[in-house]
Amino acid sequence: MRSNQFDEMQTRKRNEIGNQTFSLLVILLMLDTLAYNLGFRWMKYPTNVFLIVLVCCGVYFIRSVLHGAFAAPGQKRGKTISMTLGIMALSMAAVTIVSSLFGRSGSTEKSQGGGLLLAAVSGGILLVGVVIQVVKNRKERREENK
Amino acid sequence: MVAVTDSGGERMGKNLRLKSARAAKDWSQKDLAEAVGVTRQTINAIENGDYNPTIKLCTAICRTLGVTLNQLFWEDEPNEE
Repeated sequence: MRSNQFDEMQTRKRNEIGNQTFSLLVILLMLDTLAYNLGFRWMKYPTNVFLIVLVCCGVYFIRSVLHGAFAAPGQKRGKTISMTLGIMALSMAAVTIVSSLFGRSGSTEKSQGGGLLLAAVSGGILLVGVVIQVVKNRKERREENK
Repeated sequence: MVAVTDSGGERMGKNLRLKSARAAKDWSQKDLAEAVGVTRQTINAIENGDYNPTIKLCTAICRTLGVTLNQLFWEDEPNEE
């Protein structure tokens, strides 16, 4: 079995997590639409959509890390984490830039707040993911030494 | 999927035979996982009965440990005991 591919248990777990996260995304978007139709606007468009998508991506990322389904057996941990950090940093930057661009030309404080909020949520999710990975690595090392 | 659940489809118990076959070779879970090409968590889950491996993985584990499928993964029927 090739060790640079996910093993069968990881694949099954990722599929499970992916399906559940997709369902969560759909439900949250529908709830957001319902709230909008009832007159409750919790956040400006498109920040609300970005935030929902970001939260779901975060849920997927954190659950994958928790279940050890984030990196294939043969992948080097350091390389995986560095790549992940790089991708998430780029994503945060892209989200912030796009969100700011969608604001009006004389951008108000509110629309700037949307970009900052998304950046903060991205950073929070990233931090939680890194902490979970570090804790799991320590637990793994302890279990290996038993 | 290898039939490692009982006839009622209940969650299987721990796979102690796998654990002892691994211990006989003085291998850790990590050693076996690396030899087979899976994660340590997968081997741990199989040993604890938390995961039902496919026939492909079962044969890979048996080949690595030098034992047969029956020796590691076949459950005795209750009326055979």
